[in-house]
Amino acid sequence: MEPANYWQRLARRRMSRRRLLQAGAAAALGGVALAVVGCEGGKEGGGPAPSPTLAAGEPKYGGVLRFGYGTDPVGLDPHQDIAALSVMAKMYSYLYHVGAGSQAVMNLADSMEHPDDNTYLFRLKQNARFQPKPPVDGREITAEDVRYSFQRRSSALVSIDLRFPQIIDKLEAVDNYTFRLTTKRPFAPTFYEMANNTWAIVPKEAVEQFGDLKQNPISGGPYMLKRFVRAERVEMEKNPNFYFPGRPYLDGLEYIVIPDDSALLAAFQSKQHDINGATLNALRVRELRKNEEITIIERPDLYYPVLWVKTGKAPFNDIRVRQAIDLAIDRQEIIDKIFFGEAKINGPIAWGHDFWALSQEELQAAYTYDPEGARRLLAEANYPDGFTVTLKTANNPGNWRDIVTLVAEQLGRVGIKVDLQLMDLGAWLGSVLLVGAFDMTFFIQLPYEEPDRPLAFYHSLGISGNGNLTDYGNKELDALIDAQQRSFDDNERQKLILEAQRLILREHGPQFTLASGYNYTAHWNYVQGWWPDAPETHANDYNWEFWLDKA
Amino acid sequence: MAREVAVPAEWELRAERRRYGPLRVLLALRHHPLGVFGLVVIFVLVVTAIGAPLIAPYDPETAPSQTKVLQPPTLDHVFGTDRLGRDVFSRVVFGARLTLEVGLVSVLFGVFGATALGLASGYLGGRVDSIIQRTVDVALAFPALILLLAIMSVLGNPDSGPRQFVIDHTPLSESKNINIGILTVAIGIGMMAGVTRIVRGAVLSEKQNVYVEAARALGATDLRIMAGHVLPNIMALIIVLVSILLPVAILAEASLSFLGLGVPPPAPSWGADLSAARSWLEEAPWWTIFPGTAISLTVLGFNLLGDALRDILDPRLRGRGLS
Amino acid sequence: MGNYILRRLLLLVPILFGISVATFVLFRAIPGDVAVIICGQTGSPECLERVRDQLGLNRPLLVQYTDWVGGIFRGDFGASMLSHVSLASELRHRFPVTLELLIMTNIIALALAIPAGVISAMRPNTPLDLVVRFLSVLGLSIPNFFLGTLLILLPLIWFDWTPPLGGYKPFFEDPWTNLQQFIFPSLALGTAIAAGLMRLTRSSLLEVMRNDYIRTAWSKGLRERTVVTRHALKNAMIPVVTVLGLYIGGLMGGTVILEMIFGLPGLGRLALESILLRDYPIVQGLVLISATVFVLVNLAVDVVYAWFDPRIRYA
Repeated sequence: MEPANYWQRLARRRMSRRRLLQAGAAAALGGVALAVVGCEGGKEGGGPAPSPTLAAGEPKYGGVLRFGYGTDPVGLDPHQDIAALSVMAKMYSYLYHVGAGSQAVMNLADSMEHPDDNTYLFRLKQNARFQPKPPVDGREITAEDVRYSFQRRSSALVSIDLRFPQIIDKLEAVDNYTFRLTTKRPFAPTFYEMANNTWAIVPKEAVEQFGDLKQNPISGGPYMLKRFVRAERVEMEKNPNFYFPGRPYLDGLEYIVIPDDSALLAAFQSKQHDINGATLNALRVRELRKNEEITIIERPDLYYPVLWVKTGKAPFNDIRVRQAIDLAIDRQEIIDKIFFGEAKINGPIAWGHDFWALSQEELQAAYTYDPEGARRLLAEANYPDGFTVTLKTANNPGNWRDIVTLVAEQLGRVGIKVDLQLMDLGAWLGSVLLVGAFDMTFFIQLPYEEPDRPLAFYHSLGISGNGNLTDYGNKELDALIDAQQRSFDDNERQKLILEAQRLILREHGPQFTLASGYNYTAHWNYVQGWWPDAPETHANDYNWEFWLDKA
Repeated sequence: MAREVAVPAEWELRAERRRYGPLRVLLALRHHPLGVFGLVVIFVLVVTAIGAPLIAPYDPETAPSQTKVLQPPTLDHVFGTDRLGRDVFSRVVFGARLTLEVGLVSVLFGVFGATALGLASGYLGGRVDSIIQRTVDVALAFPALILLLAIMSVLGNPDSGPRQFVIDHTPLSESKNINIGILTVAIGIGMMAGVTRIVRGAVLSEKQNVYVEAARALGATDLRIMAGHVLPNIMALIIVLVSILLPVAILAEASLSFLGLGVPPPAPSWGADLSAARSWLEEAPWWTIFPGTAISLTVLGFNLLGDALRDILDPRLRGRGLS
Repeated sequence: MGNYILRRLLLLVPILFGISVATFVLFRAIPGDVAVIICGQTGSPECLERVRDQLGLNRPLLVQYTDWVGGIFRGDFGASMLSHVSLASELRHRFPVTLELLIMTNIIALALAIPAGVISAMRPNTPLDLVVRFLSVLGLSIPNFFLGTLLILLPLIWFDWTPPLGGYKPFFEDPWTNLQQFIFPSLALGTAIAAGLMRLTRSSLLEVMRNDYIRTAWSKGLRERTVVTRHALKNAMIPVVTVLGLYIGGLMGGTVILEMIFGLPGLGRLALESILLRDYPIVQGLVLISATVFVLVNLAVDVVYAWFDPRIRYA
């Protein structure tokens, strides 16, 4: 396999993101709960992917860019904290990014090879240096640092998400500028997994001196930390040692933390922030678009709302009941009411994955809205008067709450009376989701960019490899999901993935997917060369290209 | 919130031992125009709450799939529609019922509980008194909202042991909506400590009266004296406390909703609607204005009536920082 | 008096003990722990086990409790389980924010309440009195999260301007920005407190005005303004000031919501976030400290009260 082509095919579209939680206190939790980092799905053929707002005119140096930020980062260690990966991505070095064009973008790596299915070889830039701060004081970054960092990411006591690390066989520094990663088995998602923002390169001395990097982030990225006050701000200044000459343009960045979404948007509108941090919806975007000084960037939203049922016991062990749910859910109503018409139906893999997702036509045919049929099926399953089910979910505001309320109402229309029980995120995670203690639950899935992770929720081993929390299991489906992991040929993989999804549609559950809209970001026009982050997962190649066109 | 009823033990609050019939109170209200205004507001509220199914044109919890969301007021929907296309007017009307329910039940629960504790503490004295008072000290020293938040987090989360205990051992299991019941209990517990202290003060001063001695000399039991003699004499104080705490409870429900711990959807709660609607203030001001006005008017009404009642029933409570 | 103060201070010991046990038990009774927060939506059982082991959450509760209390006796209030920042250092950043918010709130509340109280006490039961009283209760009747939102959005809609949100600046660094940052949340909080204070001022003034020395002042032919400001108000202020002290004692209670809306990094937000994140050491420590402050302020209020009003004697 030729690496360059492979990269070209893989690196199609960038991550989209939106804060998991929309407002209020719970926002503080949002990022922390993002224990899983997803990866990017390839996009062949391309939809209306908007092009980056490339810089107009000659870039100017200087100035400080202010971001509104709704999540309250508790720490800035990329191997342990994931609340603020987009913030960290400005400070840390990575081997490479999955870029916005159709290219893999080299960062610390200069080139890479994929000599056989299990081996990944990286050659590093020579003379790349850490930031000029103690204890490293700008020493050179070597392959040993990469090995150490990847090791730490894979095995630290409180390290996050070990799904990919479990596949890693060996991490080696072949020489000062060559790093080799070996996997235990052929694993197609590797390139994306490794490109996410948690695989940051950090100096061992700093970890040893500070214990962790939560308060003392040090790496080789374009900006370095100036001041970090929890619940208040993260300030960064230009890294004079940055290994891309002439970059970054700005003197610094400032993230201003405001947990309340209304206040966040008001602060942007009154020009207190250059880049909006509030969650935007289609209706608000229509208003904002009237302002010619504001640029809106619209991308498919990869967060996707799902309804889970416990298939191990009655009533949901009966496929007729599950089919009745599918028939009772009016996906068009969700699109019209929640997303103001600007959304599409999700199959098992969100529509934003495009290349890996089932077509809208196919999904529309599969997900018919038929309340009569639903009632008939319930009667056949011996529930002529329907039944009552408890739905436990987190008390997150915004879309989370609105969608679950609407879905409960829809199920009520066919006689499935849903008793909504809301709890705070920690309680829901701890005593419902992670222990599988639910009959029905609802949540918004994280923006997985790789199709592998969304599919894992249907695998009998589940996402963490410890069994499916819904008790669901299907040998035929497991085989398909396992097969796509091994397939490095995109077209072949796509075939397997589509086949798996069609099988899931016939199974009706255990996860019911609904619809997703778009992710909107807004910035004032004087911010040039800006392309929104793919924060929770991938750093982007533009994170040192932007500049301010202000007097 | 509940903190505002906290007064130091040293301020002895004593009820006047004059008896007032409801009629005389109503007559006395003549001299309190603001109280009359409050009474009218509350009257309208109560009528709305009772007649909600007759007044509301639509089901407050559901909306047909074709209804437009965030629709401005029209003849069909006089207050417009909300985020899910439900009729805002119907939600406001049914919200009156829920608000009164949560407000009244929580305050009655809190005040009754506190009265029992305050009576026992003040009348029995000794070890009972010190146990209750030290517990009250601890509860009062807790930051009020944090205490409420903690109680709600413990009781409000399904799967918590204490919640199951409360449900199993109280009439809550009978209630239509356990979540609203739990919220009510939590707000009631939250205000108990401060009220206990006030009632104890009143009981202490009642205790010194001759009639208590006389009753005891006649061989009445403690329970009888407390229920038959002391309690009626502090009734005015208790009525005033209820009227003062009602608006506090209503605002507490709204604050909890803002923090995500209020009444769960789809129940038509003013507080929950207002905190959801405020993010849509620019796009759909009507959705904010109506539940917002409803809360403010209700709280205003209870406060004004409470002030007047306080003046009439218990002049000594006036200006003791009980807001 | 000295004895009284000593006795009250000694009372602090059982209260603090009670608070420490109560917070410890209460917050651990909330389902979910910091491990599920760290491991997140797809956390595996191993992850949960590992994190709990590392943070010592698997130890018996009594051991954890004595560990925590032992730390306090050594002056170590513990550190966040998530950020690893010590409570002491969080307090250094956040206490000034909440304190300033409270001070501004009280200033605003007094500025609204005293003139209003005086006006309505001077002309009791006139239309003017009714209007003033109505308005003051109205201020109390709007939920403060809603008032806070209005204070941000209305200026935005009308003037394309909002007060500076987030990005807290200490007063001595940038007084102008600082004042703008605090005045709006203080206004939202202050209006509610002002209603109570206004009522207190009014009734207290009415009572004072009935006193002999006021009658003497009148009979000397002094003007109304002089009587009120020179003689009556001073004495009427005693209960007002003491009640004000109690509000300061409440510390974190009321400020949480406004700290969130206006992006101020205060203690209330820290407490709320720490509850949601199940960051036990922080919540426990905060409640303990806030309870101590509350008890001490209460004591101070009582002492000051006795000081001002010789009729009160503490035995």
